[in-house]
Amino acid sequence: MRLARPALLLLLLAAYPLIGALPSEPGSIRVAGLALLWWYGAVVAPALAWLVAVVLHR
Amino acid sequence: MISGARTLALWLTPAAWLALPGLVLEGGPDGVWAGLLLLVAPLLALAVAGGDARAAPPARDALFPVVILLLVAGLLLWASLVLAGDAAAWLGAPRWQGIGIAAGGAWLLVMWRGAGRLVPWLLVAALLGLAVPLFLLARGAGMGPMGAWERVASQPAFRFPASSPWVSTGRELRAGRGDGVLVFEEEHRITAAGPAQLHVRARDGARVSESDWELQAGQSLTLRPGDELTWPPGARLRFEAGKAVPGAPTSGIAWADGRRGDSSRRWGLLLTLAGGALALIGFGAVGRVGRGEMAGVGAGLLAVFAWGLGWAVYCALGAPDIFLGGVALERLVRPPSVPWAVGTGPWVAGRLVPALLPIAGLASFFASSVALRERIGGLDVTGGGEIGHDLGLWSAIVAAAALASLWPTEPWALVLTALGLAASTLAPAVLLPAPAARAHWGTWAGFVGLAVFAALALLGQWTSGGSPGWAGLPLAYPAVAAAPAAAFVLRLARRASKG
Repeated sequence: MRLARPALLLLLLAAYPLIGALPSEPGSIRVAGLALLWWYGAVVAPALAWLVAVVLHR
Repeated sequence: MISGARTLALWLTPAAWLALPGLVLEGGPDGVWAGLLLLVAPLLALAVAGGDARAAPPARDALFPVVILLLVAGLLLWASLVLAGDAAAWLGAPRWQGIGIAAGGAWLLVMWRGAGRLVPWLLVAALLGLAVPLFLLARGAGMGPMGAWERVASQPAFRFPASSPWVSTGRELRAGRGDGVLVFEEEHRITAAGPAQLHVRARDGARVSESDWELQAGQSLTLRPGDELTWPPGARLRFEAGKAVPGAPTSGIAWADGRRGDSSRRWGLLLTLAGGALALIGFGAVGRVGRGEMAGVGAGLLAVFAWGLGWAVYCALGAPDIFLGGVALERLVRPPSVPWAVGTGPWVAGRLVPALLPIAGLASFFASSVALRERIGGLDVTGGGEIGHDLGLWSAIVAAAALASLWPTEPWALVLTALGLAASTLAPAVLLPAPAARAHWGTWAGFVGLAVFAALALLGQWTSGGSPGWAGLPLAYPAVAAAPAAAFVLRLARRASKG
């Protein structure tokens, strides 16, 4: 359990290059004006990282 | 554990946070990745070293980590002072003046024992200095960040605006830097704003021809698609409004999609920044981080991350000439053709707002200098934090960094070197502390990491970063090999201790 937070943060990070490396480039698909990779890297991952760091804090 | 404000100040040196919009402009998604790492790496370090994971006990009798952190501090100060010099040159002052003001202020604060109390206020000043120009820029653009991104990402090309100083009066390419080579995508007529000696490398199918031109003020030269122009330092040139900016991405779509291919570098950056944060924030840290402190640090990092993305997008929208010859960080301090503070008075638009970002940089640099001093003072072998107040030592560090910064170099490369060094030597000991009976193995592991890091860094310089792909990764990011080598020594120590 004590490594849950670091592991989750690393997973959040690792997803970004993995999305970028997917075949057929789904990261380039625009959703509501923004590319999916940008949605993840600029909005979803930072917000989740903050939540993981704070909410799971013991 | 160091306080939240000091953690932020320690991590967010101006050379790091100003690199974020620079990297986003230069690499699109690669820049977002660097920004994401700058945001998450300190949270990871706090989670490992100050939260529920095991922390490395402070090695009070070890000189090695103190020396390494002093080196790291010197490199980080050097990076920000280089930036101060570049920014001064960009704003029209001599390099030494920018370096002198920044180094002098940092030296005074580092010498003052009570300066630690100023860190939160300096950070607040820096955040305000970043937020106000961004807000005014967004207001001037008349659209939110999403709309601005969509507009930038749909541009057919990045073209010189008529308001660009490279169109109206002409100016140097990079104040204080060496030769720049511009590759032209379309026919472009350039005009000398003063005497200029230019070298052109033209391609005609497979045939390459080289020619030298000596232009006087007002004389022009027409370059064709594919031509390469070498721009000597000091020469002032004018470009045509409405033509594609040489050095800019071919289109907004190309910028938004980024460069495909070498994903290995992303993993190298991950290990360097995460390891660097672990060492810089976590090594020798004692106690636990409170939830409020974690929330505050996270909020500060999120704010700077959002600013960096927003600044990059609005600069690409309002000042596409920022791409000319590649993105230089100092241009972000005052983007060349941005319509500052539309709807405000001339004093606000002409003087106050453009000064805010340089002031934010100075405030952040001062906070960072004090936080570095206190961080190293906390590891003092005497236990009294005296090393953090050693007049001779800190004067020498600031003076050496100031002298070194008189020669232009890339600030972000210095930040990466500092964090790579910390990741290679100290981070493994945070994750795998040496057993108490074999504490000296921690120092040996650090030496192994240092030797591997230094060898690979030198080799990387020799080979210009090595070949692309995984094989060249250790030369581009030496910590990917040096940190595991140090960790291997610590593993041996733990195994020997159990045996």
